[in-house]
Amino acid sequence: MQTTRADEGHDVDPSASAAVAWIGVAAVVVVHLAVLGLLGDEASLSALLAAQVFALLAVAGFEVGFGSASFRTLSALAVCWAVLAGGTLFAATAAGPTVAAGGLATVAAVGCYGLHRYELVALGLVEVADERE
Amino acid sequence: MDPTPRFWSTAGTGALLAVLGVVFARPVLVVGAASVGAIVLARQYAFLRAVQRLDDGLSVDVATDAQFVRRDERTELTLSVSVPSGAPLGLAVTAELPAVAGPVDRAERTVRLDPGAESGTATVSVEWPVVGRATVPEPTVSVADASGLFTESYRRGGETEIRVEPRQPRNVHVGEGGDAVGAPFGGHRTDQYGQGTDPAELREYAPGDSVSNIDWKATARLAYPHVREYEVETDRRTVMVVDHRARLATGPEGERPLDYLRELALVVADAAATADDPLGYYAVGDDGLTAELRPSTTTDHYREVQTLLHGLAPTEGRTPGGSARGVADTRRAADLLADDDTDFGGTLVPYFGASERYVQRIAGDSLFETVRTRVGRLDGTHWVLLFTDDSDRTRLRETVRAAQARGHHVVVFLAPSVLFETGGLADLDAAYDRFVEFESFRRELDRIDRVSAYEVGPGERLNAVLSGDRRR
Repeated sequence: MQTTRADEGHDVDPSASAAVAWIGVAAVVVVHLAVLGLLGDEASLSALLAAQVFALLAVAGFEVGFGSASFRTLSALAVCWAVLAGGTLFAATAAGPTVAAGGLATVAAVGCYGLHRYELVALGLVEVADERE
Repeated sequence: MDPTPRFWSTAGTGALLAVLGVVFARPVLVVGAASVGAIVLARQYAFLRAVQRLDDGLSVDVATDAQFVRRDERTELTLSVSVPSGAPLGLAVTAELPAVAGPVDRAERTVRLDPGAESGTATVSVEWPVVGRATVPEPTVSVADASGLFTESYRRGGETEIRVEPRQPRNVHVGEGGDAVGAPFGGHRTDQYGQGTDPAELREYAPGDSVSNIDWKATARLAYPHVREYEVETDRRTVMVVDHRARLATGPEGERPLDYLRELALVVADAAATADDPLGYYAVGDDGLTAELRPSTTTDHYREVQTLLHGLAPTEGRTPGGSARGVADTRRAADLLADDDTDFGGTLVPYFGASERYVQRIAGDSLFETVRTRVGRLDGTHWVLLFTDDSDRTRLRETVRAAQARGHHVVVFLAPSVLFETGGLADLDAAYDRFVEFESFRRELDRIDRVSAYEVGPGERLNAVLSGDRRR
């Protein structure tokens, strides 16, 4: 097998439509805006956690209903959700929303880039500049 | 893994929530941004898993129906894609083409598999207009995740090599009765001794010999005066008469009688240039003489002969009534039409332009008349090399006699028609009988005083005709 990465344009379309892909994100936005609108600054930790669980179940339901999500994918979604949302909530409570937002951006960027690099290695697409090194 | 515009929209939504949360000091919105980030990361992970599963079971193969093709020929390129366990996500595999290949629509050379599909193939016809070695790169596999946030492209499969060969004769046979002749033309011994540079022989001194010719070392060794003689050097004045009438255009380009005769003529021209022999060149088309270069030995002259030979193409058959119009009249009409922008003028210009290719129009058999009127009038003895075929034997016989009668040596290079006709070798026994007739004619020419005749053609076809027990 060769290990060359192609620079051509993509010839394949995603199987899900844009509307289906956006449903989960829209649900998250709506739930959080609803929490903010209904409870305002009075939102308790338990209410927030309940909202997160509700949003997670909604997104997982959409993934199962419209996509082909496996148990492994749903587990990954739950873990990511727990780590990011839980960590952000803790940071926002402890150090304020600015620090929480900065930390979230950093963790999300590192996570995305890490998965990207892992994929390159897994597919053998990493080019070695000089094999003697 | 490349992010799509949909990815940036989703990430932008999360970023907007985070910014609003910071600006309005609402931690709930920042938590909402974290939820969006979790969705993106989970989908990226799911895509990564699907690509890995796909790559483990993916098999891509590109096959061609020919590794060797001639320029401008086509080959079929077949792309086969298989995922025995079923594709975990939609993919497209595209057969890539090298820059030297002819254009093929990308959609035609792409195999698309929907999720769950197991295999697919695509076959395209590719033209190869450039001579050389071409490498068909590995096909490109393109995948996109189900939600459209990420795409990926990478190469899989192997490279395929195709050699594109020029359209020119291969295995040119020059010989007599099927037996190849190594050098029918080129070296020219005089068998005369005198002034020169190549030593010929030693002989005893005889009264009348110049003292300066005495070889003193041989004299000392043999105890009697000996003189060394040298072979006389001579220039062989050569005239090539190349027939490029329409009848020499039988068969595909590169395999026509004219192509074989041209290859040989180029060899002769090169040999003449190497030996500094005076070389003349006459090209004969259907309607007359298309090129006339009187014998000369300048470097530019040899180069011009070779250039003309390289550009030699068959003429388009005899033009009815063509001899009625003189070259001067034709040129005058072409000059007048050159300034005519009307549709009438535009229609006529190509006909007058084509007519200008002829140096002189000739009524009757143009080859015979050229030899009679041009070659026959050359001063001194020349080696006249005729490059033609055997389709009009009676006229050719007269042509050879016309050249020979003037005291010239004549070498006839004949392309046997039987070796070039389409389907001519379908019946090998009939082809053999026709070749025997040709051979009889060639020998008849060869028996004429100061005339040599050789056959020129594709060696493999001649071998096929003479193969097995047909050769007697």
